[in-house]
Amino acid sequence: MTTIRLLDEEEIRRAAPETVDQILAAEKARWGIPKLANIWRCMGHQPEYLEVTWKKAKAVRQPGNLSNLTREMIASAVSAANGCRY
Amino acid sequence: MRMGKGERAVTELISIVDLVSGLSKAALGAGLYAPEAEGVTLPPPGMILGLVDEESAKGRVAKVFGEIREREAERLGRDSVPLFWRAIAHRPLYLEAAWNRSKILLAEGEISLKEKEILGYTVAANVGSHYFGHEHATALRRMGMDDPALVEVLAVADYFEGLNRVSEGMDIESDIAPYRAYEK
Repeated sequence: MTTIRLLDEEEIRRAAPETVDQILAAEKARWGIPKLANIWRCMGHQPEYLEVTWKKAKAVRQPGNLSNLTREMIASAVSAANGCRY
Repeated sequence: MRMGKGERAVTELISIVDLVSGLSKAALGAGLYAPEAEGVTLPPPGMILGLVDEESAKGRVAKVFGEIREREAERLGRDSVPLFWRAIAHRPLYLEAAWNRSKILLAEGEISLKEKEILGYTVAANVGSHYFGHEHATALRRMGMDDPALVEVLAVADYFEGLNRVSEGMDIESDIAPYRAYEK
């Protein structure tokens, strides 16, 4: 079980409306995830943490040499090496 | 995660994590902490194990060394057996088994060889192997990747490393796995 309460989308939106909208739009387009993923709902307790992390996510996803598939493979390899289930 | 790739590709991905994390830790155990210079005859400072000589190798070890030289000439642009393999050659059956895994797994499949080198670079960095990080980076440079391209790989790895720590540290239940696994 999550060790802290996960905030509702609306609670986070009050502190970081733009970021929440951007995350929702991006993740819906990318994965078809229709709601704010749990990890963002955790970070929302510290809205500036949510914002700088989302900015990093966008920087990491900027077009470059890697395809989206390769990026996902790197993510999976890191997660597998770390034994992370999320 | 699949993005049109099947279970075979996912397993190939995991096989690289398995391969490179295992070899990286064996290299650390051998005392191979740094990238190696070409043409080394003596064990580098800090190395824990001795090195099996290329010229005097016989039988199984000579055969494996021949295969390694052939692959690494193409992959790394060198004509000698890397120190790691010379260090583990003290146990010929282990050398052969470890090399066969590398030979079979680090080859073009449903995941391209370049992508596998990228994954190898990521995993070597993740487990702290300077030695294999350097090796995969060398292979990637020979495939045309420059510093900005390598940083792009590190940036993705960095980002997910952080997310892993958060989700594990806070024990956040995965709510995205179903979307990923059955995506398109």
